[in-house]
Amino acid sequence: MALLRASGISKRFGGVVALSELSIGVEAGEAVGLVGPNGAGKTTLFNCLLGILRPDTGTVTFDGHDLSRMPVYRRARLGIGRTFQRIELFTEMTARDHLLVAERARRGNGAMWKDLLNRGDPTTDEQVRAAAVLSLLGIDDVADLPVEALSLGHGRLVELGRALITEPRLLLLDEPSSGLDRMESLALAQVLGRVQQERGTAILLVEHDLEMVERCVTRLCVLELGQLIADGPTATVMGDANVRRAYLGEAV
Amino acid sequence: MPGLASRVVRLVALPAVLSLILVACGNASGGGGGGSQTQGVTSSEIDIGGIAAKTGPLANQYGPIFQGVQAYLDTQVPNGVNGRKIKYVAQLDDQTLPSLNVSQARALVTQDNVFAVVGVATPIFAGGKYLAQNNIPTFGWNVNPEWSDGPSLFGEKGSYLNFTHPGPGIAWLANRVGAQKVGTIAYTVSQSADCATGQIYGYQKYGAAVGQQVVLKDTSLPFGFTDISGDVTQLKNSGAQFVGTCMDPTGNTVLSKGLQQAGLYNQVKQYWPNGYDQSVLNQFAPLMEGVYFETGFVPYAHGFTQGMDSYLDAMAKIGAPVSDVTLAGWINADLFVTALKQVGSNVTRQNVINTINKMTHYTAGGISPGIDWTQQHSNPGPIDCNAFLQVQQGKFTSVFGSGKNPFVCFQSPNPTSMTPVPFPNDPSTFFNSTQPTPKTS
Amino acid sequence: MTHFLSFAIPGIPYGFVYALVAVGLVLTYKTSGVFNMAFAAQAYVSAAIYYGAVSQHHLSKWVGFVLAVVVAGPALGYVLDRLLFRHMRTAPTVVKLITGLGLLIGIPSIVQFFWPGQHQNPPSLSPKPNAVYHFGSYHIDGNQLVVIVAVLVVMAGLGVLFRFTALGLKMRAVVESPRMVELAGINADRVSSFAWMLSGFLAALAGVLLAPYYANIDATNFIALLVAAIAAAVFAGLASLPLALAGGLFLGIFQQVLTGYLPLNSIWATALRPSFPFIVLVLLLLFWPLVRRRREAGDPLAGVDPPPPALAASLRGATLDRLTTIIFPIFIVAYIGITLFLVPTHWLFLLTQGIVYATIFLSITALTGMSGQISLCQASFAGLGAFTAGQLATEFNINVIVALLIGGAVAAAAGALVAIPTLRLRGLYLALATLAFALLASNLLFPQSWLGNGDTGVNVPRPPGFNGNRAFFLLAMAVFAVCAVVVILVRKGTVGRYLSAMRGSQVAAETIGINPARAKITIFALSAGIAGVGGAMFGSLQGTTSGGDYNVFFSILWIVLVLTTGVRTVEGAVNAGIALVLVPELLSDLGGTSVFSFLGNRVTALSFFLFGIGALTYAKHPEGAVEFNKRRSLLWIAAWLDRRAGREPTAGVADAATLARGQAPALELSGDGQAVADGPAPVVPERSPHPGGP
Repeated sequence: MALLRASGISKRFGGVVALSELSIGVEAGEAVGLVGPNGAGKTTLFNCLLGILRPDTGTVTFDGHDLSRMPVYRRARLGIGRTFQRIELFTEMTARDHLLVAERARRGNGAMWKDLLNRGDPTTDEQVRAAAVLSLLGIDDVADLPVEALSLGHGRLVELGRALITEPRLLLLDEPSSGLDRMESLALAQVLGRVQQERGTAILLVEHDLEMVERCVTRLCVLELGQLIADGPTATVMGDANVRRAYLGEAV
Repeated sequence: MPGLASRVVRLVALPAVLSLILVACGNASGGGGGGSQTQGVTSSEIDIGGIAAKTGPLANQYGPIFQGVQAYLDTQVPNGVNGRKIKYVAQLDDQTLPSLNVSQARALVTQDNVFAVVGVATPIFAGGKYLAQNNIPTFGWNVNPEWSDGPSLFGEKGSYLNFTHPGPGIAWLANRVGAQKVGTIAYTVSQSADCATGQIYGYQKYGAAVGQQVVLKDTSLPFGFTDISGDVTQLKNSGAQFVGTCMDPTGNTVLSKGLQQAGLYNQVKQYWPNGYDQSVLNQFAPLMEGVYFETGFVPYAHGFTQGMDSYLDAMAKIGAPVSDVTLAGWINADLFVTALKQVGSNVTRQNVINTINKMTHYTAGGISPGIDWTQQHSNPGPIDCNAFLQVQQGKFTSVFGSGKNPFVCFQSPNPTSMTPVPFPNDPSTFFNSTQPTPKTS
Repeated sequence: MTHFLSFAIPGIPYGFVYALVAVGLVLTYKTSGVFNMAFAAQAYVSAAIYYGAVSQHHLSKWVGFVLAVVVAGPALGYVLDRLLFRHMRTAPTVVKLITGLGLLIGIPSIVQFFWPGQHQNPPSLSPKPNAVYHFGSYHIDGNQLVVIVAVLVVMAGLGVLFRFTALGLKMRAVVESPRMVELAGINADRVSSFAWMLSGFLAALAGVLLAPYYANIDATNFIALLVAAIAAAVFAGLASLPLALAGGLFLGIFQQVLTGYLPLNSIWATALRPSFPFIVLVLLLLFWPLVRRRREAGDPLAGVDPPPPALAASLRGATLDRLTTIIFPIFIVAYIGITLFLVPTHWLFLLTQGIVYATIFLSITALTGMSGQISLCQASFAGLGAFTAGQLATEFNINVIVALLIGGAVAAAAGALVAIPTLRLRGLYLALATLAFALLASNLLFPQSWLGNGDTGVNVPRPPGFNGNRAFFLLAMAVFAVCAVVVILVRKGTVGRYLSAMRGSQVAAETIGINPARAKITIFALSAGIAGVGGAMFGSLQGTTSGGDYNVFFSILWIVLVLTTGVRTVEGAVNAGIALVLVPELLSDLGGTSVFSFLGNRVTALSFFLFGIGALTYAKHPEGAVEFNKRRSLLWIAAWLDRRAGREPTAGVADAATLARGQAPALELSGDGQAVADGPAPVVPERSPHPGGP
């Protein structure tokens, strides 16, 4: 049974149809890529999956649960993590703070009465786990700077770390390499690979960087104007004529 | 060592610096206030202070009370009492804010070190409790229930205020003008609504015997916001003949206008609880023609009593308005000075208070029909006299009186009917003005 | 039908006036992002000028009209744009809101300063205001006629302007999409200047037209007008001019029609008639689709951008901590000692007041400081606490300390009750919802005899044993300390962290499993509870307190004050409390000296002016004036020490970043939800070549 299954998702904004009867699935532990021209609806799909937007039609199930009535934070707690196309950081915090607060939320055991008893500080356990993720991503040395002082590459890593520390079963990554140079992209791809192998996390990756796509995913979906025009093994899809026409472009 | 420096800077935080400033200021402004009985009194001077709502959203003018007090002091006791001049050291504005009223009451006592508070006029007398608790002789315009809070608080007409259970005056008036179907219109503001409750009570308790019937009671008008069409329609449909209002002059004029526009002006007689004031008449005369007013004091005209003549002359001299509020100031000053004179040389707060509270028939020199200070902190007192006026041809004219006596008096404090009782003073000695009596009808 | 019309017709003039102001509100909001609460003040100024010209100087009504409406209105609007709002274009929406609130407080005060006393019976624009015109069985008077005619003329003019002139076209474009207009090369500054002048004209006209409906000219009358106009503007989704017009008209008419159909003396009439605009506003905010749709499109109305944290904290070192533990307690003991024994009674009372205010202000430190949301009803919570404590203590003889705690609990429950329906609202809309609640509390709740007891008020006794001024001062300090510790603990604990995350990015916070509803309700309830406790202390200090102590004006004044001194720190709350008490006192002392005696009583009007103007510094220094000055002195001292030690002035990466943050907010969500970087921080998201789909 698929870990994530979205069926018949439609969404329109006023006169614009963003998604049209879209169905997509991700198996546990699988790495799936999602590509397509801009305006195809990729970020809209993510938002519908996570509950940030409510689709007009269709259902989303995750691990057997029907997500339709669930608010965003509940879906997150079920095990879906996400990064954002336009980076969404907690602007006042340091990188370490990001991980600490995500870890606290994961445990779900913070409460105001504990705060009042001065038990609100991060525990040793939380610190240890945060440190582990920081070193996994290689951002130990900038961990205690305010995130606004970090480069975009580091910022994206912080976002990824924040999603990772919640131990998601499925990671929704929205153009994580956007704004990164080639070295940084390669490093990111390596991290993703490790995460997938060590933890068995499923990944749904939206990307424009095709090299990264080829490196990271085994299955590729192509979206155009809100509809899926291809869904299959990476190499097959890359060679598909329709896909070339819509997105990849012909070889010169 | 930036860390240490930052800490030092941090420690020189506002509260510390402020404390030092305050100590300096505090010592400069003189020692703290205590409860000393001779505070505010020196061999040559007695200090008084006052609080009034001079600014704020409510329409009535409270500020002129100070003029009333000062005028009395200047014209009646220019050399002071027993060698001590009476001096206003503070005239504070509470801006219609209850919290400010409280602070200022305290400030008058603890900072300005006044002997007594003479001249208080404000819609919310939150500071009354403090003054009562500290036994400060306080005199002001009794438009608040707080005046009953203690034996040291003295309103100009007694310290008891009960809007909701008044005497038969208004019901009597309605009956006198031949109205059986009567009504009341008021604002939602509690004083206005209480006044309305009182009028209805009057109609029902005293008016039932003569067949009065309440056909309209509206207490839902938002204060200051004036649209009266609903009430006018109701008045028309019910055949009302008399309506008492519990509103300020603006609201009253809107009612008048509404009645005129609907052609009901002659059918529905109006009684206004305030607006007996020449400046209001100057502004709204066409809308006030035929409207009835009432006052518990001698009407504002020469020819009744010398006391009223003095007041009118003093107001004219300094150019202050003739109105309930300046009259209240005048009476406040008179009561204070009368007490001081009786107390003699040993001027203490307690002596002043005790002296006043022994007076059984205080008339403010012939302005009031009589106040009994042995009871009028807690009940309406033994005298309930009303002088009625009507605007006739653009002038306030005394009506329903007899000869020199403009008053109609009723049983008090617990009247059982609206049958008038005799005037409690000898008219030939009370109405002692040397000027010609004004025309009455 | 006749019945309906006979009530609807008097409603038309009101409706027209509301429509005028609503159109002005939407216009300035769309062209410059400012939700201009100062509109009421602008209306007041013009009404005052007209009154002065016509009633006091006996100029002709035409001259008065030209002065007050044609000249003063646009001039004031232009000045506000030029001097203030144009420079705040990139500031967060809520900063602009606070500036507007500061002006709302400051402008009427300065007018009163130059023009003291009461001003009764405002004149009508009409030459024959009392003339009656009959048509059929209906009639209107001269005043109503002139309102209808004036507004119709203005509306026609606006229609022509927008439809047929180039300027009007540009303005419509800016209303549709400001970004697009800039890309097309239109000078946005000129367009917005004109929009401000136009809306200033509308406010001035509304002020002069509405003034005769009230007994006197007072700023609070125009706040009622403002609230009705806000409801109409919300009805228009803050976007559509025709809808704003329609909304105002409907509101005015329905308000009057209600009079006709409600039984005259029922509880409905007494409660509903005065509160109708506020109730409509609340209902709109909660249910109106145009309000909700905004959020889904990427909510441009995000909460206030977080001001940078206290610089002193980030430079903290080991020496610091040791010094703290030694010197700070000594300092506190000295302060208390001086206050208790050396300060005279009057000043003791003032200081106690300051501490009690500071306690109430901690509620703002908690709510706005932690969640970034603005609440305009903190005074209402304080009042709830005070009245509950007072009623329990006097009616049921409950120990005052216990009553105080119960008062806090009741206020906290009210805070949760306000938070729950408004969970979806943020930023400006949430502020408006709290404003509506504050008005409802003042008009419906507090006058009830079992709560605030109308004008008579409620007695809140001193706790047994704390009757004396000194004892009560100590109690006030203790209560304040407890509340301060609570705020600090919550801020650095889970709730504080969650809120900090939500402030940075609410959607990202949700994606890591933070429940935003719970965090919001918690902080609202905590904040309201603290305000309630502070309010109960205030009531006990004063002895008697009534609804007038907790009206909307105070909520606005307090929020403006605390934001000016610093909303992120406990220190800011203390400074605000002391400032609130000291500034009027010092001013009146100044007024008592011979040099300034000509000021007399008007000097107290100056204090509100100063507070209002202080708010204007908020735009440049969102961390608070005190914090800003502290930082400057810290930097200077650090640099001086470095020079003395012969070192290069150090500025590590952390310092640079924190300093940079001190200068300008780093990230801001602009109108269409894109994160736009501002200032030196290098976190710049690259835009895709084509604007990506939502």
